[in-house]
Amino acid sequence: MLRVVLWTVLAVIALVAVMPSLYLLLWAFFGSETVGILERVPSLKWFAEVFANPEWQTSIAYSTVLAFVVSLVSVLALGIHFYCMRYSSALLEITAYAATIVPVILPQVIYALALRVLGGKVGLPELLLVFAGHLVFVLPLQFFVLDAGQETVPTELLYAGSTLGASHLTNITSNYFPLMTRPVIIAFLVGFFFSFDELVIATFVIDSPMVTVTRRLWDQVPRSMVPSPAVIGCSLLGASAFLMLLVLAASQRNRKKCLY
Amino acid sequence: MFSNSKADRVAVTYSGQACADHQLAGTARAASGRMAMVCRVLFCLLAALVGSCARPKLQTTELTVVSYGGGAYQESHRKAFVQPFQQITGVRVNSVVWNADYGKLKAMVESGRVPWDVVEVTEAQFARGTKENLFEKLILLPDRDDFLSGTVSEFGVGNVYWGTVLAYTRDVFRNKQPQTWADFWDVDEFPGPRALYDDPRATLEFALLADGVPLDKLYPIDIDRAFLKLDEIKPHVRVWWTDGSQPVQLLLTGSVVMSSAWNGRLYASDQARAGIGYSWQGAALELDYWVVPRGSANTDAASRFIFFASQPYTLAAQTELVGYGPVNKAALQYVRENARTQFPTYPSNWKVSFPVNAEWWSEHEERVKTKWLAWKMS
Amino acid sequence: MFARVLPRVGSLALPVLIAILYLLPLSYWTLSSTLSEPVSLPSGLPFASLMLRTSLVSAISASLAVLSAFPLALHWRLSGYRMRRAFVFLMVTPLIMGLLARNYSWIGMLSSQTWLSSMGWISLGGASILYTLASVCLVMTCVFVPVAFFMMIQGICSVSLEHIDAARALGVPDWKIIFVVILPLTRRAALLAFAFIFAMASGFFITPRMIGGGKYDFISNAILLYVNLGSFGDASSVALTFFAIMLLPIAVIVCYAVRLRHLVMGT
Repeated sequence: MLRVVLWTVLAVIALVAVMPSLYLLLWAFFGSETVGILERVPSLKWFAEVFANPEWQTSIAYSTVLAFVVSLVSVLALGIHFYCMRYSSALLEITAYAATIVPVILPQVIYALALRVLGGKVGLPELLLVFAGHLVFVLPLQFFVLDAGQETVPTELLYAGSTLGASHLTNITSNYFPLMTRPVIIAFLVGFFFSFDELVIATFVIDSPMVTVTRRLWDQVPRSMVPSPAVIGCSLLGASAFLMLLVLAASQRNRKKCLY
Repeated sequence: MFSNSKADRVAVTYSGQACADHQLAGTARAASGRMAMVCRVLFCLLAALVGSCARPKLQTTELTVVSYGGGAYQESHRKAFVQPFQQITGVRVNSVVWNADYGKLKAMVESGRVPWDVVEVTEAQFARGTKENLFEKLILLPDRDDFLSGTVSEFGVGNVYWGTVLAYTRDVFRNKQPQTWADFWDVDEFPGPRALYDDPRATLEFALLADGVPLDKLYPIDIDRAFLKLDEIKPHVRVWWTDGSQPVQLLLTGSVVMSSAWNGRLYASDQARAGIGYSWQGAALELDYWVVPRGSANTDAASRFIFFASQPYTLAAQTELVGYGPVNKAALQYVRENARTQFPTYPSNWKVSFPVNAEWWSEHEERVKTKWLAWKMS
Repeated sequence: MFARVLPRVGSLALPVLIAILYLLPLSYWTLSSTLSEPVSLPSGLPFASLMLRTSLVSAISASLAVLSAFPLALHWRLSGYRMRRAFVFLMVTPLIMGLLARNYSWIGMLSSQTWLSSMGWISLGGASILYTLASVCLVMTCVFVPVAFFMMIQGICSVSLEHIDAARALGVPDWKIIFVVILPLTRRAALLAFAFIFAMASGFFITPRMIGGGKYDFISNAILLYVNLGSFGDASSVALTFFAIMLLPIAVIVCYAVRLRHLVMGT
């Protein structure tokens, strides 16, 4: 009886958690110009409206490149940080950890306002402000992912490499990163999607015509409720599913190589 | 205007081609034959004027024009202003969307980094910005006599009047429809949940109208009286809408039966036209202004853009797409009759509405908005 | 020597990066706002009420998110490899699709004649659930369930399957196993998840605005209001006061998180 109750509760929770995503799929194909009202016949017109529009194309390209660069820089910085931590004291580790998680805990609005004020007073370029803001919020997420993946690289292995005369660069490129490939890829993808979806920094900092995808969606909110958010959400889901399949296929191929 | 200089001949030829190619000619074809011919000639003359003035002298290659985003409004700007201006002058126009965040504009001007060249602001923001010296003086001004009184100044030119009207679901009120704000407040005669704009601007005025204050006696606003009247309707307000498309969504999905709404949103949506009725009685009319932020690097080109966008034919093309009233008096003659009747500036609508007093709001906005926030929480 | 110095210098790089990108703007803003003029809240602003509502709704959402994530995390722990992957996929999908899109999605679902809106209608005695405090809590909970899930699964890994098998072998009923064996081992992870989500939820402004119908503004909505009005001084005053109030809870959460970092990261 308890199991039945538990499974029912589980099913309800899972369903409620996933339903918005399912509705987004419906809305993208059956949506009308008003959210909440669906057409009878599916169409791709909202996809065409988004992807054929030059302004949307610019935003998608901008968001993609920004997210890619932010995630890459962050994952490289963290990768090297965790390597260096193997040779450093616990106090440094705690300091770095505490410094990294503060941006997650402190409300984003406060930091976004502070960044805007500093940028305005000092005259920093907008791109730099957006990059800095995104980097600050991507770092903690990737920190957690990469820290969980550290167990795949025994410290003794790195020490052995150093003892045998390998430089740190050789140790990193030959021992560390090859074993950390999977956590690094996952961290990169987490950082990419989070940066792509970031809105608070974009709202406070961006003034130029060059806006990110989420900022363009937010600017559109006061004027129309067309299914553009659903189109973007579905496209991201499709892209991530495609990337995951690629990664899975690559790892399967590697496994076969190891077996044979 | 039509000199023999090579540059001017090029400009006239180019603008002549623009006349032939431009999709506005398609709009002209929809009107009567003789009117269409008049429209085309006028447009070509205008294009030649802007072209011959602009092309030999404009150093600018790119202009950033900031306006409200999303849906029909942005599309109307693109079709009526941006594309023709680009064709005529060769200046690339970047369209930026904003949501009338005055703080952003002010911070930009004060920092000295002004990437925007032309901005569309509300009348209250225009009044406030002029006082705070945020705008450049325009180099090229249209003739004030062509415009409604007080809509052209050296710092900005009026664009369109838009109205906040009383909208209701047709299905719910088949027999008797609400027409006035007193009806909106009458929950016995017209029961059901309501929605109002989450902003005291215009909402306080509606409360005073519902309380019996005449249209011409609304200002200065008796704030306490307005909030007292709002206390009556507050339990029946289900949603304080913040997004212009929300009233349409709320009414069509049955979340509310009555709401204040921007007339352009009701005009532009096919679904709204079918399912929602509205009344102009006691509608709040507000004006948008084109301005050039102080510190813009392209003041010359920006002024010419504003001049171009203020001409009757271009304004007519825009307003026919969005349902807002052009402030250039000559523009109405180029708009179809059945569209004209839905404009705020149409005489029968104008007579029963009131223009929002931008001066009063520019002085009291912050204080009243703080009080509004506190009142919503009480 | 270079080989010895490099790791130490490298390990300082991250804190220095965070200091430059994060602490510097915050410090500059705090100092410039407090030194230029005394910090005073805008007259008439119901700051205490806003703070109370923000904290209450954040606490409710965080509690519900952790409570909802717990059975999901427990089943993840007790499931096989494929089921685990399915759980992870289920929880990652909403994060990929975006916060703004999900808010719209809830508006669409709750304003249409869907089974969910009907359920809400019944539970609220005939009133629709959309644009009520219940809908704000519901949507914020759903937004944070994936976050709580990923934090909880790290903590629930400390529950040994052998312990559960031993308890079952001794005849202990399942419900008792949950309360006596599993909950004590996972309560710290749950507390940490609650703390993180509470802090994140306090800074929300999108969901209260879109789902709340303008009736349930948070502190961040007030900050945004003053920024939009151009009153950066007032916006900074509100934000600074909010920051000062949150400083102590944040410091406690950071200390707790540092002390129990193995629960967050599964190491």
